[in-house]
Amino acid sequence: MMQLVSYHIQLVVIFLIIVAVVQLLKRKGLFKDEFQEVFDRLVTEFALPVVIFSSLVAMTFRVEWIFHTAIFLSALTICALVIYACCRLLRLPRKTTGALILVGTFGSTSTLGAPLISAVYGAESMAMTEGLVEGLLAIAIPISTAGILVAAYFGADEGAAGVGLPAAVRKFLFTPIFVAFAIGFALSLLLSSFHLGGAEIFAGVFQGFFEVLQQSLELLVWIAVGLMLRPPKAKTFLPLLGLVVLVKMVLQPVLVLTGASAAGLPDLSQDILLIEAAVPSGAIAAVIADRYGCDGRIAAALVVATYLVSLVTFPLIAFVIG
Amino acid sequence: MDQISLFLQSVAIFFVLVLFIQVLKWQGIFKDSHQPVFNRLITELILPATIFSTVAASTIRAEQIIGAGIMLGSVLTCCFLAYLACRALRFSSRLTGSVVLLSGFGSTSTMAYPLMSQTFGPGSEGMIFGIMVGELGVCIPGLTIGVLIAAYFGSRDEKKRPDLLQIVKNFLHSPLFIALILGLAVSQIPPASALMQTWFAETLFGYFAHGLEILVAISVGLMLRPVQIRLLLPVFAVIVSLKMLLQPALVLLGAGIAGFPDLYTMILVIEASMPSGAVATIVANRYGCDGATASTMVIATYLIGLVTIPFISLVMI
Repeated sequence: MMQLVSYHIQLVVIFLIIVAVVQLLKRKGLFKDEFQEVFDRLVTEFALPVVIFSSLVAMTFRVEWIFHTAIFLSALTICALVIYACCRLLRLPRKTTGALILVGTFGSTSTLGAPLISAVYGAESMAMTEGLVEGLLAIAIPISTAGILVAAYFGADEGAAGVGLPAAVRKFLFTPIFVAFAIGFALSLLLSSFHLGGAEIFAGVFQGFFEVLQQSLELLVWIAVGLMLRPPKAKTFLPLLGLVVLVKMVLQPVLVLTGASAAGLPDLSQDILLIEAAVPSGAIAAVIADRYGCDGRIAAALVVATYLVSLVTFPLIAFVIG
Repeated sequence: MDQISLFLQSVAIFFVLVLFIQVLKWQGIFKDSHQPVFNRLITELILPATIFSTVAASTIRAEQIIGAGIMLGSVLTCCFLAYLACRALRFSSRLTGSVVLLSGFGSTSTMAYPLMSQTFGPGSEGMIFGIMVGELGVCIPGLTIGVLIAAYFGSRDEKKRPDLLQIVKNFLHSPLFIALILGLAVSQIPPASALMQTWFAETLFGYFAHGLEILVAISVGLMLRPVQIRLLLPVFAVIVSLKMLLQPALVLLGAGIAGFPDLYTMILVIEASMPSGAVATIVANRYGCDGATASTMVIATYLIGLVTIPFISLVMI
């Protein structure tokens, strides 16, 4: 338990340091507000799809993990609906509602969840593989599809045409990175299936290209968050933070734990799901919110605030895990 | 042949990354105006963090200093010869700055380190020697002397007499120099240096190190644009002959005179035979030199490296 808490604190401090450094450089005039858009695009249209594609290719899969993922996804859906209902009750603007749904639903599974599971259970362990698969299926893919749709829907100006699902899927499937992935993957299969010369080099280039991008994602995301961040007004911010903390960091772990216990999942699987549900709001969710017109500043402030709050809530979860 | 295959892979990955940025640029996702963002990010944040963490966690030994001295001597000789060639060819100051930088400073961290890691193994004697020689002989001089060179030539076209005092003052206040000094200070305090090898420090600085390659590729990709063909051939000839042929020969000579064992000689030659540094291109562009030609030349030296580096590796090994 102490090991889990210790790694969690260190990771939170690391990301806060990166955000603080970016803020410092921004205050010194080295970064400007217009840089924000560049990083938003880099994350959403370049690095994020790469991470999903390369994770899918390398995925080791077990059928029972679909069931675990379904429990996680159900908890996420309930959280999203609760946040939406609260926003309606509070009559919050659409752009704020979109930002709250994203950061109140999607957590930092790749930023915090995966490194924590890796540090505690080992990078090569089955727990790590399970954590990665569930994080991919329950968070990464939904946030890149449903998350973008939610952001685009709530981020669109009043009266403007929304983004339909077919259009969003079509756009996603024709991004340069997806086309490259599809061609590269097909060529890689072709070369290795027919034992053609150069198959090894091609596979090395193909994997290396995606590895370079994958490894850079976290830094790009945190730079984007650092650029987005503005000191919020306490009076309006604190109720929003309270809502997100209650839903994302209390309700979501409770729902996941209840579902996992009711389904009789093994202890290890329950622990993994609990860790992934208990992590603070996802930095990528804030970047997506900003990219598609929702209130990015609120989203970024909420992400950083939930990281701070997790210094109190996560040890309690670790205590439950034992 | 392993290291040759890895080199070919590294070159290909870099090309694919650059090509991708070009595609995204054509699609309007990236614009020319975005380039300074990445230049600043690299020179003001990522590289200082990488330099600090590398230097702070290092223990400097005599043979590493000698190796770095040999490397630095060859780099400065190539820079000086490049300057003479530019004067003879009457290149502009901005172009001269770029040619001088690219003729001396190679892709040590982006190309040589992965190659050595694969060849000798991470954490091996060869790898440690290679990193120290690369940092002390190429990277740190490139980010200190290289910045001064870039600032000097980059400002000459605008002012008749470059304000050297101001350039030095700016350099002393630059994050790169501050990172170097801080890193050296920390490396001399054992408890602080040990702290740099903890999981926390390695994870924190690992994020910056992992981001370097992609950000450099993005910056080069955005920098790349059409340049005057007439100018390219002489520029290309100067850079290739100095950086990729003369520099390996010079370090081979230096290692022979120093009586280095085969392992150290091999590492020196591998590092010297690297293509021109993408980071040098960013420094050149950041400080007012000809960034467009520099980025084209980096790509060109990577291409020619496909032939020269396997050849040099085969001869050495």
